Amino acid sequence: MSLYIFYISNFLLLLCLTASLIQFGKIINNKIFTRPGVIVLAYVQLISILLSFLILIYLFLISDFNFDLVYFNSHSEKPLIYKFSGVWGNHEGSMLLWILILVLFNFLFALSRRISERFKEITVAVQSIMIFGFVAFLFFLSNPFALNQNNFFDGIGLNPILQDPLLAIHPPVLYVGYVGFSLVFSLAIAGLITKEVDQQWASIVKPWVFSAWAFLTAGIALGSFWAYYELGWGGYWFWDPVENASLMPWIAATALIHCVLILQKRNVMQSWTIILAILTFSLSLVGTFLVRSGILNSVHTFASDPGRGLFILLFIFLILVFSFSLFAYNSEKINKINSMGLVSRGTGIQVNNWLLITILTIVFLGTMYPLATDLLLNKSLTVGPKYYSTTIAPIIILFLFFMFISPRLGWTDTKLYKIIIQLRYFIITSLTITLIISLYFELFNLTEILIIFFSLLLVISSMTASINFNKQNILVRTNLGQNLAHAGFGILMMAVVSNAVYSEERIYNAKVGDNLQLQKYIFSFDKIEQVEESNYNSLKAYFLMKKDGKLIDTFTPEIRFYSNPPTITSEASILHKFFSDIYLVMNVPQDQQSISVRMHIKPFMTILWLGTLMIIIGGIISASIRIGRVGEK
Amino acid sequence: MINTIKIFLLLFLLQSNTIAEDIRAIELFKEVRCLVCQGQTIHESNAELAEDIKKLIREKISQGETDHQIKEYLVEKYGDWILMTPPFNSLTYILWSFPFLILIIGAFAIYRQKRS
Amino acid sequence: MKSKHLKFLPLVLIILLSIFLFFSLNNDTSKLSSPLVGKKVPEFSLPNLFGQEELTNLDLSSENPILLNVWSSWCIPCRAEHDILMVLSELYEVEIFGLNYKDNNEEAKNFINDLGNPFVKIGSDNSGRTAIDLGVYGVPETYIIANGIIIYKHIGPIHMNEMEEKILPIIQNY
Repeated sequence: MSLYIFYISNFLLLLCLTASLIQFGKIINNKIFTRPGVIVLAYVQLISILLSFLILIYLFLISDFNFDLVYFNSHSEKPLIYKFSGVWGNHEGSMLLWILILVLFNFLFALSRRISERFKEITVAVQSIMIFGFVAFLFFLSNPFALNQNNFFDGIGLNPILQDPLLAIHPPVLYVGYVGFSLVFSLAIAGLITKEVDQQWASIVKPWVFSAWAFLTAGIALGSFWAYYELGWGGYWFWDPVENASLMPWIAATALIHCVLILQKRNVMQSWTIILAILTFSLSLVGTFLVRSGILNSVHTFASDPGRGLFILLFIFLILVFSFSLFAYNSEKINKINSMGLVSRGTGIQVNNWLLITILTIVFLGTMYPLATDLLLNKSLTVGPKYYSTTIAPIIILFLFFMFISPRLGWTDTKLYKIIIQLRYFIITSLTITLIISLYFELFNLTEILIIFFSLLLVISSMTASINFNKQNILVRTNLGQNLAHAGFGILMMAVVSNAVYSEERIYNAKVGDNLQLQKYIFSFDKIEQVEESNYNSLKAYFLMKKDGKLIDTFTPEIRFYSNPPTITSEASILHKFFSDIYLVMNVPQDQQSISVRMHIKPFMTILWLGTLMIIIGGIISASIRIGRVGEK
Repeated sequence: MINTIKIFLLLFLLQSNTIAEDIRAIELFKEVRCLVCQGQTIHESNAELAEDIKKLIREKISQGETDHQIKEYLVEKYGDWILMTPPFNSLTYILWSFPFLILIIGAFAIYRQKRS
Repeated sequence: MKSKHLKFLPLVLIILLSIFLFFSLNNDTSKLSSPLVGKKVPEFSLPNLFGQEELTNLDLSSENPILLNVWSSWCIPCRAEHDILMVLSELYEVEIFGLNYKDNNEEAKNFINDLGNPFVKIGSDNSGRTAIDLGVYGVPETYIIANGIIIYKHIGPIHMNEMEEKILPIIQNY
C-alpha cells in the first residue's frame, strides 16, 4: 500500500513539473505549443499538487511510519489536530504547502479577466518557471514522500512547542503573504518585458499586493503572539534572525504598496516600484528558505540543511540576476517624467519610502553583520534588540511625522504652514495629552515622548479623517482602509513604547505558602501538583493573585514533560486585562524545595495586538475595495 | 515610637536596596548572551552555564562592582560575543554608522530630484 | 549620466551579496574563538582532587607546552576523550593538568580510578567559578599553555585526528 502511494505521489510531483515546463515553453514560444491552453495547464498544476498535499495529510492522519517524514514528525498518540498541522510543521511538508499556495495563486491569476492576453501569458510564464524550480527542489532535495526500509512501530513525534493551535495556522497565513509577492514579482517582470509599467499596471497589481501584505502582517503577528505566550520569556519580539527574515519583506512591501498607490494616481516612480517589487519577493524567498539553510541560526529554526541552502541560494541568485539585468536593460524605457511638487503627498510618501528602506537596511545589517565579521575577521559578535531599538527609534519619529502630514497634503505643491494651521487643534490636543502622560508617569526620555506625541497625532488625525469624509461623500470607502491601518500603526507604536518603558519583572525562588509581591498585587503560592494529560505530564503550580486582600484570579504556570519526543516546556499563565497583562512563568525546579517563578507586568499588550489587528483589517479593506474598482476606470 | 519608625525606615531602605539590585541584575541579564544556547540571553535561559553566570553577576553587584566593570570582565573572558549589544569599536563602525549614512543619502537624493 | 550607472547598482549589490552568502553557507558558525588565547592564565587556586597541594596557575607556568583539560565524570564525551588523554600523557609524555568541572568528588575519583589517570594534578572546581574565569563554555575543553600563556584552546572532545593534526604539532613545534 505504502509503495503505491509512494509511486502515485511522486508521479503527481513529476506531472506538475512537466506541466510547468510546458506552460513556460508554450508561453515563450507560441508557435510550438498552441494547445492545450494556459488555463488547462494551470488546472493540471493545481490538481497534481493539491492531490499530493491531500495524500500527505492522509499519511499523517493514518500515521504511516513507512514514510520518513511521518516517522520523524508524528506520533500515533498525538491529538488529531497536531497530526494534521504536523504536515507543515517540518521542512518538506511546509515546502509542499508553499508550492500549493504558489500554484493556487497562479491558477487564480490565469483565470482572472480584464487583463491583456500577452501580459497574462508573460506573468504566468514567470510563475511557471518558479513553480518548476520549487517542485524540482521538492522532488530532488526534500522529497516529502521518501520511504524508509525499517518497519517502525511508532514515530518520533512533533516538537511540543510546535503543538499549538496558533502555530497550526501561522505558516499557511505567512505563506499566502510570501507567495502573493511572487505574483507581484511576476507582474513586475511582465511589466519590464512589455515596457508597460503604468496606471493600468498599478491597478492590476494593487489587489494582489494589498492582500499579500495583509496576510504577511497577519502571519508575522500570529508568530509574534505565539512567541509571547509559548516561549515564556515575556517578550513578543526578539529581533531574532528568523523574525527579522519575516520583517524584512514586510518593510519592503509596506514601501511597495504606497508606491503602487502613487503610481496609480500620478504615474510616477516606475523604476522604484519595480525595484521594490523584486526586492520584496526576494526577501520573501530569503524569509522562507534561508532560515532553513543553516546560515541563520535562531530559536525558531526547526530544520536546517546546508545542501538545500545551496540550491535555494543558487535559485534566488538566478532569479535576481535575471530580473535586475532586465531592469538595467529596460528601466529607462518604463520611466515617464511626471513632476511632483516639493511639499506634496507624493514627496511625503517618497520620504517615508526612504525611511522604510533605512529601517530595512538596519534590520538587514543587524542580521548579517555577525556573519560578516565571523567570515572575514573570524570574530564573533552578537547584535541584540538594543541595537535595533536605538537605531530605529529616531527614524520612527520622522516616519510618524510624515505619516501624519502626508495624507493631509495635496498631490501638487501645498503650503506647509496652511496645513499646520488647519491641524492646530490636533497638535494642541496631542501635545497636552503627551505632557500629561509624561508628567504623570515620569517619562522624560525625549525619543519616547516624541514617539508618543507623533503616534497620538497620527491616531487622532487618521480617525477624524475617516469621519470627516463620511459626512461629505462616499470617499470614506476608499480611505477607510488607509485610515484604519494608519491609526492602527500609531496605536501599535504607542503600545510598543509604553510597554518597553513600564514593563516590570521580578524573579523569586518560592516555596508553597510564600507570598510574593509584584506592584500592588500579592501572589500566594497555594500548591503544586502533578497532572497527567494524554500526550504529556505536567507540574502545575497554583498562585492566588490578591489585591487589597481580595482574590482576583488564579494563575497556573506549568512545566510540561512530553515523552514523544522527550522535551520539557514551560507554559506561561497570563491574565489579559485591557491595560496590562500579568504573566507568570515557572522554571524547572533547581532542587526539590522551591521553584523559580518569574512574574511580569506587561502593560498595553492588549492594545498592542489591537493596533496590529487594525493594520491587518485596514489592509484587507484596501485590498477588497480595490478589487471592485479595477474595472471601473 | 520614633524608634519604631526608624527601624521601619531602615528595613524599607534595606529592602528597596535589594529590589534595586534585583532590577539592576535583571537588566544586566538581558544584556548577556547565553553562551551555550542559540540567540537567547542568560535571562531567558536555564542552562547551567547561564545560571552560573547569573549567580556570578549577582555576586559582583553585591560586591559593589559597576555594570561596566561586570561587562568588561565577561568580555575579557568570552569576547564581545557575550554582549547582546555590540560595543562601538573598530569592528562595529560600519554597523552603527551605516544606517545614518543611508538616511543622508536618501535625503540628498530626494532633495536633488525635487530641485531639478 | 549618473542614473545610467545607477541602474546597474542593484545587480552589483546582489552579486556581491550572493558571493558573501555562498561563503557563509560553508562557514561553521558554531566554532568560537577565545579572547584569552595569547593572554596569561588568570590567577586561581583549586583544591586538589587526590592530594593536599592545591592546583594553582603557577603549576601551569612551565616552559614546555602543557595541557589543561576541563572535564567532568557526568560528561559523556569526556569518557571518549579520556583515552586520547591517556595516549597523550603516556605515549607522547605531555604534561596534562585536569580541571574537574562542577563534579562530585567521589564520582570524579571513581572515574579516574576506572579509566586511568593521565593528569599530573587535578583541581576540583565544584562551583564552576574558575571555569568562568578561564572562559569555559562547557566540558570538555582543553587549553595548551606555555610559559603561563594560553596558546591554543580546543572546544569539545579531542578526537584522534585532531590530536594528530592540531594538538601534537602545536606542542612539538613550540
